[in-house]
Amino acid sequence: MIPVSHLKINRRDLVKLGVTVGLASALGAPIVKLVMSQSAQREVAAPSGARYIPIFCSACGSKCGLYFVRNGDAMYILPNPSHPQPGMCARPAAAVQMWGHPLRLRKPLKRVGQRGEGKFQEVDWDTALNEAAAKLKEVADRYGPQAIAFTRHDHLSWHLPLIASLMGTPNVIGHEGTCHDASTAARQAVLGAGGPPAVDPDYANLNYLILVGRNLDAAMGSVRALARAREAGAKIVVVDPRAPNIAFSSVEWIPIVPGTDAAFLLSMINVIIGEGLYDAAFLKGYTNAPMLIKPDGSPLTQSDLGLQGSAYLVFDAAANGVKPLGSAADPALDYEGDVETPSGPVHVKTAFRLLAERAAKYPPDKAAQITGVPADTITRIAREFATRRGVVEDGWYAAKNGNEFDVYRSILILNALVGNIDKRGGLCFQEPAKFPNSCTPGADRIDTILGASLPPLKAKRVDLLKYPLAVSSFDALLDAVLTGQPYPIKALIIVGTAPFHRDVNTGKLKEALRRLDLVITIDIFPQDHVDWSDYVFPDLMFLERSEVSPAPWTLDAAVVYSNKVLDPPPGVDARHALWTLLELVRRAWPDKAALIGYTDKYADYSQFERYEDLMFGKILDYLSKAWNISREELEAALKTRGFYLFKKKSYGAKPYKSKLSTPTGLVEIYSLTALKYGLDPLPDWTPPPAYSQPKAPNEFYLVTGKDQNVSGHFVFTYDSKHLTDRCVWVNPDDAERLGVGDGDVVTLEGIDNGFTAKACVKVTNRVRPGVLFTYAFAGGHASALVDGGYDFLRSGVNPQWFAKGYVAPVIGTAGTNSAVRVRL
Amino acid sequence: MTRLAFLWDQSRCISCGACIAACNAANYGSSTAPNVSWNWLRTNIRRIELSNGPRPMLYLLQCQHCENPPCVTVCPTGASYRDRDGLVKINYDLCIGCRYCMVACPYDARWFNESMWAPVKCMGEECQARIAKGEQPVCVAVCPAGARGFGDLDDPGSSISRRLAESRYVKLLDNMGTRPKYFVVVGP
Amino acid sequence: MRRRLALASAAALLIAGAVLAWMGYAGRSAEEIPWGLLVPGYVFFALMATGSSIVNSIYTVFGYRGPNGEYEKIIKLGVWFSLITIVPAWIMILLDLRSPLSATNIFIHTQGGLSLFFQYRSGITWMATLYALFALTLLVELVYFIRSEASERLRSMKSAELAIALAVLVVTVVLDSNLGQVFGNVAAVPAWYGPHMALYFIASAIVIGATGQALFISAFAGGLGVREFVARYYSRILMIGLPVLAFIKGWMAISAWYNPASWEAYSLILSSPNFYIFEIGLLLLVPFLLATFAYYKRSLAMALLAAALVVVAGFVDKYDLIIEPQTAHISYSLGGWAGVGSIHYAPAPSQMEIAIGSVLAYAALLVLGVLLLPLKPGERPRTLYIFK
Repeated sequence: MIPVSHLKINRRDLVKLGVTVGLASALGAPIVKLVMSQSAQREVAAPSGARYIPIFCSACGSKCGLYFVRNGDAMYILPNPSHPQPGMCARPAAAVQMWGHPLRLRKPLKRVGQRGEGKFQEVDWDTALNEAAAKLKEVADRYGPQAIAFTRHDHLSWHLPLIASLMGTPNVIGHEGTCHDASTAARQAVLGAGGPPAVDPDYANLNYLILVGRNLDAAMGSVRALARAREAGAKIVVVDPRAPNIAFSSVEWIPIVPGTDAAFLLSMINVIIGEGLYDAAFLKGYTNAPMLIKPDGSPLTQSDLGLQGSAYLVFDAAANGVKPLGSAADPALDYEGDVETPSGPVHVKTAFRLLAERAAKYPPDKAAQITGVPADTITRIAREFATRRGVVEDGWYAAKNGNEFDVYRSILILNALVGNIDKRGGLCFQEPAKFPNSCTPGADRIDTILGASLPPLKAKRVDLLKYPLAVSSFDALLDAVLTGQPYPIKALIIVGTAPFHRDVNTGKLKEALRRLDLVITIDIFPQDHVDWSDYVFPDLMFLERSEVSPAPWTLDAAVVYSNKVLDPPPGVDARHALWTLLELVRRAWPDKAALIGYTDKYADYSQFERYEDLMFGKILDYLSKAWNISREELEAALKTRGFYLFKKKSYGAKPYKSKLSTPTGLVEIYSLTALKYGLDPLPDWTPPPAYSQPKAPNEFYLVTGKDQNVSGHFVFTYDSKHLTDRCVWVNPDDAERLGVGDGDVVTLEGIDNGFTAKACVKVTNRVRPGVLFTYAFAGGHASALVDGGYDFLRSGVNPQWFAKGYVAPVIGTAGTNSAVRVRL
Repeated sequence: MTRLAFLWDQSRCISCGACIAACNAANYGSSTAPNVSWNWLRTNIRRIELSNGPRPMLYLLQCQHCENPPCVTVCPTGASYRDRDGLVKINYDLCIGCRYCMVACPYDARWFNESMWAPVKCMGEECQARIAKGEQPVCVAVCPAGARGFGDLDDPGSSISRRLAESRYVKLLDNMGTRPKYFVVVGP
Repeated sequence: MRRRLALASAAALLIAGAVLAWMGYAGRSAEEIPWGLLVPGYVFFALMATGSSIVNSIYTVFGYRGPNGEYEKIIKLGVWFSLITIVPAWIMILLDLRSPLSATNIFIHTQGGLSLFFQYRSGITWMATLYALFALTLLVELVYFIRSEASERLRSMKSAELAIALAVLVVTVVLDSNLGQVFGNVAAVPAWYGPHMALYFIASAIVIGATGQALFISAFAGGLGVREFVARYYSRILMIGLPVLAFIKGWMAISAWYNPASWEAYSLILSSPNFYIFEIGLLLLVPFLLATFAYYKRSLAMALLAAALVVVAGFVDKYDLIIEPQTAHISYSLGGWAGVGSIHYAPAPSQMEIAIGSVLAYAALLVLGVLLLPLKPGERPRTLYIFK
């Protein structure tokens, strides 16, 4: 069987002839031999004589498809144009700089000073692993295994649940609380969907795109697809207090007051409902908009009427009476009336009516006052969006103001209002790739990908106990460390993530890091938290390891593969983080490690590749069975082409042919999930709780975010010194008023926490008046290990220093924006 | 005749920086040494941000491969020359590092490589090797936004010719008579 | 004994200068602008060399001997001065290239067989050509003057003498104007662009050359009994030359104001206090007053003070004119909207080492010339055709 190839060639670009011709001819011969080791077969020779090896990028979390190119001495990265989600941006272009970086962690480190001092001695791997493992075991013996916690970003997110389950702790708490927690909670509540790639605009075919707090700095495959839509005349609207890099291109940039997105969106809803521009058929057939709601906000059910069953009810205009949701011939959309119940008449309104009433709080004039966006702009955008059947992007890295849950629900409602769900050019569900989990909890055991089963976990994850609708909320972990509630956390393993640049309460973070019994870090660069660690283990960077993953950021079902292309440079004794973690488990609990076949034969790091292959083999077995394709073919395609496309996106699946995972199985305009957890079932706008509103002339919002020139790794590179500015952006009118010029140094003082730091000013029209902007993750690196020519890492400010530390109840989303005073 | 030219679409460019960093990686070995001439990376592409007007705008600048290049006129050794495909190139066997070409270029498109003691500019060696084999220069190959093009102006069927026929474009410093071949597309 | 000491000191100074220059060469690095300190340094000495030669043509071509024939006593010193002053310029410019010998690529290409090359459109090609001609003609003139002491026949060949002197004058004037137009032909730098650079450089050369030569000659003026002549002659040149220089410079500044692109560079020059202290005060006003005073009061001290000021301020003038427009280059060159800001340039230590080393070597060579060559009246060539 010849692998289905998915050629996404930009038709304007005759470029690819060299590459695709080379590939096509190289792959003409079917590959049948099973190849497990790294062989030259995965290198394809292009006409120039250069060798192209498929990889995917891990410089941010998008896994864009790339080639590692070798041409004589030259080594560089190019996009893989046939990949389901091809790259690229500046971040992988700097990959060789990341690889050879002088600040890379080179050897295991053991802390010799106080936590925070950054004083270490280099130790050999065995010493570090043995000591750290012994301390982990001690913590588990004294407090129970649940006292061990992990925090992570995207790296090893697939593997860590397995490691944690082996140890016996549920506490793998990622970065999502300061990333996509709110939008995912909204996707979950409204669409029954998961993380950001689970639902995405059909970029290639859309007609009108609104980006709210989303700048498309990743994935680059989305950008490529969007370029095709632009050629066909698509319009892009960017709603953001600052102009992200995409705003350099032809977009309409709407500079909005921070934290007021929900008012803007509800005003759009108000216009669309008011002018009848909504898709009534879709709303009636596929959403819970017709549901009848009682005055207390709960839905009317059959049991309210004293009937059998608990189905939700709608008013059927055809039958002139209430009927269960889904069985009415003509459910009324905009209706209110009285319904007789055993306890008397109850006045009900449809969810749609309630939505209309909610949106009526924000007519364009009122919304203009709140958002700073002119009323006629709001009206025009609403009309354009509805008449062109546009799509509003459903959100990724947006944990800014604390009120994002309502913003992203409003967005999903807007998409539903125009009926643009899972249609060509609309907001679509990703085809599931059927990729296995590393472990799957069952009723009485945990099944693992390796075949063995583990005992079930007793404790519950600390953040989910506090924030039940969160994806993760790291702040709850800090609370557990500091207060011992709901139970003590005594050891923290920080894997490939940067808490100081990620999380919103720097003071609390430092206090927790002081308090912990054990802090272990696995990373490639000296992020701030390295100075606070007891043991630091150097990790491989993405060019040095092979990896397999479901393909994110494409609506098609695919799996992607990255080949190892380089060994660590001389002097860098970095090892795979997975090996480090498995060794920690094995040395502390050899029996547990043995459960998944990880024995002391892998203590010799050179043997670890075999275990990696073992795991890879299990994944291949699973996928080949799930998709009924040959394992050999799958493996060969992954290694030589970097991907395997299982199924192209077919539109009109959900909620048309199959139900959603929401309580009603429909798009929940009126969120029963929110209702269940005591939140408002409809979105509303609230002033941002994450910071005090700026009032005085020298007080400003400080908003933060990324562009393609920012990622936790990329900012360390020399390229970033010039491509990422570490200044604070000030609007020219504000600058004139304050009397500051481009390049001046000012002092910022957090209004809510009083923290002060100096910052360099960049006077630019890229930020609206009253607002300052600085990139997240870029400035204010504080590790003592940052030295020499990389002192630029210390410049600028880390915007998290000024954040109050607000975390929204139930949802667990944090606010990374803040308010500051400017002093000259 | 062949007249190789570049296209950059200002209306599509999203300032992702891929072209700038990829030029450094492919042509300059991912060098982390400073480009003192430009206070920049060792790359052939400069980024100029216009931050004071009513909306943010960007320019990406590199050698324009002029048809009337002042750098070639002033070169005393003939090291700077136009090749038969219309690219402006430097023969490093002849270059004496006098930097007259750097002074004479109105686009400031050349930077000084102190280890060679000679000026450097688009196209680097890797890109020249690529186009000799029918591949695109690296900056064009990496662009995710469809904002770059390259090809032969004298071939009406080339992608650059077709795209220019459908676009509105400007050329930089057109009044100086350099006849640059770097077309800045401003819209359809 | 004194002579031996002087020779040894000069040789030591020469070696010290060479070593310093070589250290600078070995330690050099990239600069923020293409043409840094060594280019105005080279221009300065090239102007001094050619300018002093133009000044000497008042004797050699136009026959002016001075009220009592004083000029004849110092002409050989003057010609030696002109000749040797080109050396620091060459040292600085050759050490600023990829390697000093690489300059041969201007005329000779060795790839694919030996061939001759001449890029007539490049101002630098002509500079190289003209320097060769300058050195050649001046060397011939010096040898002619030296051998004239020993050969009556040579002394009588007045037409030959005139021909050589005329050749020197033509070459130096063309060289100065070409040097100016190396900058003046660069349309990319609006502050330079235009034919005025040729004239400005000629006028600057005359003034700088006269003053440099005056300082050199003054060391011997007492012994040769020409103090009053030196005081009045060079002062008179300043009294004429400085107003001409001011006139040209004034129009350059005014014209720059009418072109915002040029003004970007000129405003950098004009906004620095340096400009008013050096280019107005110490180059034009004060020396003019001192020179006038020196002329009428026949004061050598005043004349030499004026000369010293002009030499120093003349360098500053050239430095600002060459450096500042490069720092404003990109900001306006893309049409005024780029706003990338001006570049700040300061000479690196390695460049200063090359410059100072060149000057030390130059001083040594000047002294060596006086010690080894029969440049003073009454001295005759006795050894090796031209040596004392």
